[in-house]
Amino acid sequence: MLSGAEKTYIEAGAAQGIRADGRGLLDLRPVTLETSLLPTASGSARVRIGGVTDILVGVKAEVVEPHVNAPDEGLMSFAVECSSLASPDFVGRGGADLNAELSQLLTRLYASSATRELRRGLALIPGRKCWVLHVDALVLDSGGNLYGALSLAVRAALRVVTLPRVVIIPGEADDDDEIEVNEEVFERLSRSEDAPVAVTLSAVGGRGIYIADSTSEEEACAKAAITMGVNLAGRACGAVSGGTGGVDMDTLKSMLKDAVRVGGDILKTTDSFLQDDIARMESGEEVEPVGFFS
Amino acid sequence: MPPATKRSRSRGGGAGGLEYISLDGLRIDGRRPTEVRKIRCSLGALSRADGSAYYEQGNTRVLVAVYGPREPHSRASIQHDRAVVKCEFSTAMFASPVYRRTWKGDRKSTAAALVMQKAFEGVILTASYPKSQIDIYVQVLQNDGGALVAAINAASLALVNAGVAMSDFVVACSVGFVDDTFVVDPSSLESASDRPELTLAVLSHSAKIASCQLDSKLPDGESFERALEFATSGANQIFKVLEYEVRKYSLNLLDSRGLVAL
Repeated sequence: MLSGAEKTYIEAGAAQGIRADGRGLLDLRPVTLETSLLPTASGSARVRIGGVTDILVGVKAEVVEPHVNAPDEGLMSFAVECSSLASPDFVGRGGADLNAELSQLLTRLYASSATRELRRGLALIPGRKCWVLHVDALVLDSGGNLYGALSLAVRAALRVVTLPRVVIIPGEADDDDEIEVNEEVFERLSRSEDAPVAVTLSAVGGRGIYIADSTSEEEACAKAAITMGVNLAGRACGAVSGGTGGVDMDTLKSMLKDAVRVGGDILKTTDSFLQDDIARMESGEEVEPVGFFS
Repeated sequence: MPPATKRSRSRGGGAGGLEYISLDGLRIDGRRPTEVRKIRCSLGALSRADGSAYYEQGNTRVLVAVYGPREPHSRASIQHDRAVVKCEFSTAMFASPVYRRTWKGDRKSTAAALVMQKAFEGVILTASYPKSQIDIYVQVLQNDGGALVAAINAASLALVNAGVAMSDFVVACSVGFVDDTFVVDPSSLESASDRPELTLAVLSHSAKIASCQLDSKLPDGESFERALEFATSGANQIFKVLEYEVRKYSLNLLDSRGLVAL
């Protein structure tokens, strides 16, 4: 809910290249990233953006049969739940639509060929056994840029997932192979760096003006929004458009270019953080937790 | 054969001959039978809710948000002389050690929500907020036994954080019964569906019982009384921690308004 005056303020500000909280058009709010905070999950992460948007992701793994269409790939299933904590609107089945929309976004981001190697790494015995990663995200608080926060949290959780080592015991015939799960040796996922991050750019105010990492107030007055999945190779893996209005072709082109740039920056920054985090964990050094898990 | 194994066998032991109480009288996690798990909590963990609390009891972790007092969503639920208390209890899908798809509003969650609603309706001064609604939302992030207990304690803190007027403070504690011994605040390892477990919610000042649930049966009536005693003593231990947190929070609040110098 936004008043006319507030809307004008945000739009006029964006036209001048400055936003209500002092950011430039493509600047991001501070991001807090914590990993491996749920001992019951194979991997977990919590992302907070600007101290408002708050996402908790837990990944659990199971051995199942692979999909018939992709016998040499593992599976990933995504489920997002908007907790009632974020808003009373989500009570009961109130969040069902948004849950479906967000789960679908993640499914789409990870269905692309850009993450095929990641899925291949989850295969155990082609056509018979593979890992399934149940990726469950909980929206604890929402204050704009849900897509971005969600994709970042999922990516961070996947980066720190450890699975028990699996040994394949050859059987007499070809399809007699069995697996043995070694619960003592844990390994990280291969090619988890391929996981993409979603960048949403929202068009506000006049022609050709758009902003990154919008707050919920800015989202309320956005005419159109483009969400792009970006990976480390700078490739786009999926794009979704949202919002009620439209953008012209020239703006769309420059939006896509900027989304890749912004996404690349996010990936670089978070990856250097995650690598330090993983190195610290592997060296057995205690990582000082922040936030309410501290 | 080591004597410890023999003893646990002769007593029937637990699943797979697991020994719940060692010869030294200590539990699997090293606690004494009357000890509660380590509690950590903070008030005001969320930005949008009117009140919220994060609460940790051992490895059980919950977040509770309180919205209200506010205008009721549906006209039908309006009470002209008092506020209505609504509660929702949901568990994250990654909360338990085994992966299980959970839904909001399954039978267990609904029952837990109802217990909380009843317990808090009794202490909130609902008559001070006519024609309004107070929502308590629980999100269990990790369940290692005693999720309802943790949720009740966290909800008390969240209501304090929201500034809702209450006549008393609700504290909950559970008691399990393993190897012929009462254990206060059982972890998931110590609680099983076929073993008796008593969950008690008491009002800390008036010492009234707000809610009492007994799962499975106890050997005799006398042991029920004993279980109540254990649960009350556990609740008192927990209350000391919560009281300290609330005092600390209130002093900080007064300090931030320049009303008291810390």
